This record gives sequence, C-alpha cells and structure tokens, in this order.
Amino acid sequence: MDVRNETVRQHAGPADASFESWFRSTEPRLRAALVAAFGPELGRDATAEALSYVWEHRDRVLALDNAAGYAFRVGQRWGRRQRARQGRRFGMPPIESAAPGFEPALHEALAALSTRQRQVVVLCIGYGLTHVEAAALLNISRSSVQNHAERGLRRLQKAVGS
Amino acid sequence: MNALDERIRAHIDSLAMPVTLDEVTDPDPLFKLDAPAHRRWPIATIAAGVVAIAGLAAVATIASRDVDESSSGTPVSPTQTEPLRLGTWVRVEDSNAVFVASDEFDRIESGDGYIQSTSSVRVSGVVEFAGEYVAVGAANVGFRAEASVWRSPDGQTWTRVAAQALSPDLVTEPTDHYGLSIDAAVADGNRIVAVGVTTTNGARSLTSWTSADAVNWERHALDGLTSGPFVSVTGVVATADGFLATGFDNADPETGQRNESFLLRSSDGATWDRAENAEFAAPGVFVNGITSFGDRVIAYGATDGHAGNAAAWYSDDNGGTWTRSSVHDTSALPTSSITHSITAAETLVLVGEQATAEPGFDDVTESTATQRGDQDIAMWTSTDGASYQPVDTAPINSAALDRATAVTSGVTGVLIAADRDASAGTTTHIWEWHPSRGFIEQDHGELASVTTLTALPDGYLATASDRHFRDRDPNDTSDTSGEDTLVWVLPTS
Repeated sequence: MDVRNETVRQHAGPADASFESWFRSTEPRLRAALVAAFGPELGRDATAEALSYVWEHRDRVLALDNAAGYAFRVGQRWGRRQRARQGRRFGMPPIESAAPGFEPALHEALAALSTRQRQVVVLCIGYGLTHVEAAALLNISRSSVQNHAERGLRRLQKAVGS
Repeated sequence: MNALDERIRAHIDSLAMPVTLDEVTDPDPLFKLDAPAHRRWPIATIAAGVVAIAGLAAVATIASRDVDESSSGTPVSPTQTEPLRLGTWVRVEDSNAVFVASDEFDRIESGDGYIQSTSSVRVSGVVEFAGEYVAVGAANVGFRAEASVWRSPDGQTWTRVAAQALSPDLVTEPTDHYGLSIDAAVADGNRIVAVGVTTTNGARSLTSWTSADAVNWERHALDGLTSGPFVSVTGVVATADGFLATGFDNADPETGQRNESFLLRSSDGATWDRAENAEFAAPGVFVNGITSFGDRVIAYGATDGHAGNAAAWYSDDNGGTWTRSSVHDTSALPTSSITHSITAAETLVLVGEQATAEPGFDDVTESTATQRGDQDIAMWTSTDGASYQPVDTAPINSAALDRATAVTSGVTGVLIAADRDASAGTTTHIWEWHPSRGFIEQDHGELASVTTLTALPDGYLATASDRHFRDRDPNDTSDTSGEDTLVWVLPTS
C-alpha cells in the first residue's frame, strides 16, 4: 500500500469530492482552450498547472463564481510566461501524429485561425459550450464570442467542410 | 465523415491527452512536491502519453533531449523528478513608479525639539483576488498617510488604485502624523476586506474597506470599538460566516499602558463588533495574527507578555468560542512567540521567535524581558490546528537570525524571509523549508528587508522596504531618508 496516498484519502473530505466533480466538467474545456492558445505541449502543461493550482487552493477557488475562468487565467498566465521564457513557437505548430483522431487538414485549418477564433471554435463547436459559457471561461464578452465563432467557423468550414 | 464537432474534439484529444485527476492532486499529504504533478509521471505513463500524441518516431526525438531542453514541462525524463530549482531573485521594474515615495518632508517644532516625517511606501499584505494580485498598505507623504492599494495581473506590472474612498481628505490639525493606513486584507470569493487605522488629531481608530473588484472601494469608520492612543491591526481572516480581525489597543487610555488584544467580528466586512473574549483580553496576551485551517480558525501570538510563551487558539464555531492549544514547551524554550502562519496543503505552519537563553531583566521596564540579540527563529507544524510539533530550526539559526519578516508556501515548499540585526546593519536571509529536505538557504541577491512573500504559479513574489538617504536637509542628514517599496520575483528554473 502506498502510505502517502492512503494518508491523502484519510484527509479527503467533501472539498475533494467537489473538486473531483468540478475537475471532470472543467478539464476538457480548459485543456481545449489552452491547447488552442499555446499548442499541444505547452497547452497541456498549462492545463495541468492550472488544475494543480486550483487543487492546492480548492477551498478558495471553488468558492468563486467563475472558478473555471479563474483556472483559465492561471493557465494562461503560466503559459505566457513559459512562452516568453523559452521563446517557443506557440499556437498550432505543424505536427505529424499517428494518434487516433488526428486530422492533418483540420490541424492546418485550425492553425490558420486567429488564437481567439481557434479557442472559440474549439470550445463552442468542438466541446458544445454555449457562447455564455465560453465567454465566462475566456473572460471576454458574449458578443465577442459570437463574432469569433461566426468568423472562425466560416473559415474552418471553407477549409475542411462541415 | 463525423460531424465537425466530433472531429474537432477528437483532434484536440489526439494532440493533448486529458489531464488526469491523479496528476493534479498531490500524493504528498504535507506539501506539493518539488515539481508540478504533471512533471512527476512515472516513465511508463509518460511514454504512453507521448506515443499517443506524436507517435513512436517523436518519442525517440523527445527522449533524446536533455532536461533543460524539455523545460516546457513535458514529462519526458525521469530526471525531472528532481526538486524544482529556484532561480535568482529579479527586481521588477516599477515602470509606473507606483511604489516610489514622495519627496515631501514635514517637520514642525514641538516643545524643545521637533516632530518630523519623511515619506514612504509600505506594503503590508498581498492577496489574490479574481486572478489578480492585490497589494495593500500605505503611502506616507510627510505627515499624511494614504491608505493604498496596488493591482497586478502577474506580479510584474503594477498600477496603483486611485480611489477617493481609500484615503479621503481628513479634517485634522496638521501638527503630527495623520491619515489612514491598511494593515491587513483578505479576499473571499466575492470581495476584498481590508482593515487598518485612521489617525486624526492624535487619536487612532479602526477603519475597514470593502471592494468587489479591487478598483472601487467603500470605507467604513469603526468608531467606538477601541480605546487609547495606540491601535494596531494584526490580521484579518475570512470564515464560513464572515470575517474576523485581531489587533491591540490600550486597555488603560489614561496612562496608555497595558496593551490589550481584541477580536472583531463582521458578517460583511463593513460593520464590525468587538467580541467579548477574556482569553485574549487577559494581561500579557499578544494576538499577533489570525488564519484559517480547514474548518478551524486559528489565532496565534504569545502569553505572559515580554517573557512570552508561544500560544495558539482554535475555534470551531467561526470565532465564537476558543480553545487554547499547547504549543510552548517550557523545558525547551525559555520564551517564545508566534508571528506568522502559512497553510501548506494539509499542514499548518506557525513561525515565530524563541529565546536562546533564560530571560534577562529589563532595567527600563523593571520586568523580566528577553534581551535583544538572543532571538532565534522557531517553527511549529500541525495537521489538525489543535496540536503542534516543533520543527528543528537549528540549521537556519546558525545564521543568528532575529526574526521572521514574511512567510509563504508555494511550488517548492515553505519560503521564510528573516532578518538578522547586527551592528553593521540588518541583513536578510531567505530559507526554503520542506519536511523531507529540511532547510535550504536561497540566494537572496540584493533582496533585503522583505515585508511580504506571495506564491506565484511558478515561483514567488516579494515586496521589500528600501530605506535610503535623500539629500533634503544637509544639516540633518541622519533623519531625511525615504522608504520606497521594491518588488522582486523568484522564478523556478
């Protein structure tokens, strides 16, 4: 038995259950938004970083009205700093992958969108968020989401069809 | 062909595997380990993830990188389970000059001498609120103190909040220090509550401020809650049903003698009442601060006055009733007190001072007192907020430290800033503490006189007091120094 993990379970309480519930619903959209902003590697790292931060401060963060939006800002801030520090290419760099679901043409079409258009399209089209939900996560207005979604989707459909 | 929504979702999932719950929840019951969870994957999981993302060919490429090249955090090497390393402190450029003190200097004759004041900017606390860092404190312009708030999205770029409600013009006789200052602040999910002091015509009273956005503030005068010419706020904490604040005032306003600790309660941060609490009001009790730990509220300080015994109290009903914990080991510590607290994951860490010898006799106060220079840093930990275990601080006390000035917990454990007083001046030392690695001294570079420490997502933020000479009065150079605040960040490398 892993004693340390057992200890964690002993400490686990209602806050952990609420975190798990929040985590299940938030992780996909948070990862989508940050991958769309920073690319696969940095975006996923930023997601893990933001979720770890929320876990550490779960009592406070989960009490916020928009905990997912807060987590996005944590991940965005971390990603920007890493990007600046590393001088890494971001966005959606060209990539070759044999992973299931990977579509080179779709990847290229998403990469051609602006960062905000890509985030909104991925969230609203790919993950089914409403414009209001995406606006809360990205901390922008609903009308901005609508504009980015319409323009981004038009460009995407033109490139890969519907 | 699948619908576009499914294709997009599948494509994103193919690029970046879902983050698992195990990656972000800490397997260490005491502290977040040295690296973020996603950098601590077992190698088999790492390899599987990389395969899924980029294929076997990419694995070979990535695996050939050394640790530095993979510093994006992609879990590619087992050597990344080494502790996160802290870089060096970097001073943040104050491009808006928001932490620079005014050049004003006030002096008036008073009896046989004079009263004077230079200008200063001091940060007393930093809280995180709505994705921002919000610093609170005071900017003193000669005799006039201005309650002040600064905001930053990242700890690097700061702006000062211009709100009349923070520090309105006071009707006062400009014959001595006057104005407002914020001593402590706390944020809950909906608002920031700050607590401080208003000084007018020699009288001091409590004041609180509330804000829902850190930009617009409301000020609330708390008259009648304290007495005497001395009032000080030591801490404020959010509870399940409101806020609690601690501090001192004079129990005997006639003589100004005998400080008495107080506890204030508020449901909204605007209206407060003073809780009747015989334990805190007892002679010699110093409540130096208050914090929360799980469902408990913890107050801490010392009993028995200057020959103090470190003391902590806990409350399970949001400050209604208190139980004193056993912290002080009289056989080991002649005198001690607690001055700072921090919660690191499942552990409450209390930091304070302890005397290295039996108390001496103070000729001035004609009482038993610990002589200056005999202080060491003391630490205690608790996993329940009721019982405490001392931490062996001998490794850091070899530096003859006198007092802790700031404490926080972050990506590498607990960070402690402490000062050492010496005839040549005060020097600052920064120590990192982790239960499994003990104390590690950090290179503090030119960072000195730390007033606050705050955890950043990937490092630490410090504010420091920078006292410096300003040549305003060549006939009296010793007293014309100003005091700016400097901001520093310590990144992980």
